[in-house]
Amino acid sequence: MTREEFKRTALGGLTNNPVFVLVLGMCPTIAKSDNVINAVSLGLCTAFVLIFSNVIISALRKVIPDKVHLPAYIIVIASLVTFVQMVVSSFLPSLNDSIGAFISLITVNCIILGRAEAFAGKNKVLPSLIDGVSMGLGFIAAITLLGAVRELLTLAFGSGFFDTTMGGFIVLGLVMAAFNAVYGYVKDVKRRKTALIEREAA
Amino acid sequence: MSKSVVRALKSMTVLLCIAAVCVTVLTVCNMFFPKYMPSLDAATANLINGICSTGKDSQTAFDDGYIVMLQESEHGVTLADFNKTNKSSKAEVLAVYGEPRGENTGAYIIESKSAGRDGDVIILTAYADGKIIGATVKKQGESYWQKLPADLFDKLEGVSGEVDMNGLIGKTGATLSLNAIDRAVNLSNKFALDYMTGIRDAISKKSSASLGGGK
Repeated sequence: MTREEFKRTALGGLTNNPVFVLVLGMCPTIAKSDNVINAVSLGLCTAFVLIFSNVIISALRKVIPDKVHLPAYIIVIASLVTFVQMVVSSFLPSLNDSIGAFISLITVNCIILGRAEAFAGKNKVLPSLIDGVSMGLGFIAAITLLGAVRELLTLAFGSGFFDTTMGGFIVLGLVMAAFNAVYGYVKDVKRRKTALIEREAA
Repeated sequence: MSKSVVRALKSMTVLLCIAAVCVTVLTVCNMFFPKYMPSLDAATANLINGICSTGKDSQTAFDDGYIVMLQESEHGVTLADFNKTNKSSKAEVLAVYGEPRGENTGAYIIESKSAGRDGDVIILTAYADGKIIGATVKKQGESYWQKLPADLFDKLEGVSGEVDMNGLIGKTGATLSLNAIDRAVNLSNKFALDYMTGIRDAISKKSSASLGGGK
């Protein structure tokens, strides 16, 4: 793995943020970002499944026949989700009461299957691990940011709108727009800087 | 054998192997995770006091033995055997509590569980003279629980024997949760009616012992 590849993979969670850029995993993102605790918890559960599914699928990529790769991925992901659900229901029952239903739904989260299909199934274990960590952190950051904004807005304007699904959609749209505007601006500044350096060098 | 058959067999073998490994790992993990064990703690005593009042506040009822947990040796029924016999009911009786003192002396409470939509639903059902005098939920994580009517358990009061929760409540939007309650309550009812004498005797003994201790 070259330095450039490492950098690109490790920054994937930011440059290809699963929520704000790829717009994946919207169902749990909106449903459970009504407060920070739920958002961080679901983010951590999803990141755990994402990292380990990436590693396992990458390790098995040469064994799994191409025709049945999707069912094989689903078995691995579903097993990891079952494990997470067992841990949460055994050791964190109150958390299980608040996000339990959405833990099962991690199995069909597009971020996980998407990364397995697009990256882990085609790359070695180490890059897949880095991709899983990067995307997992990207998802945690996005859902936590959304949870924090919604919780603050709920505190400021009272419950009944920003903690509902409709409010979640609107806040997600605004945060997504802000993220892409800032990220676009940063990218633009960087591109201009590079162009300037190249011009000066020429 | 043609190439496609070989390929299909290989695919099936790989899938089966992956599934077998996953199931084995999960089964092994499951052995080491703590399981729910029914116990009489302050929270349970509070719930029981709410459906079958002792006439005292929950803490006093808990501390002073107004509510007790009956052991299998006391009421003479092995719960594991009972549950095994009633496996088809898809519910389990977990524990039996009694009230040897207080307003409802002789009443007994059965804790039972059944699988709902999102895990087990644990119900406490209180009985006096074989009839339900109150019921409540001890543990649930159901997504659609709020769709159930608030007076759900009030409708069970005075009932004995087979209960049809769907008939009593009607359509709710939480069918799986309601079915879980139905199964748990019906198994409790069966247990309560089948072993009423043994449970009553156990509570009487506890009652006599507590009166003797008080002298």
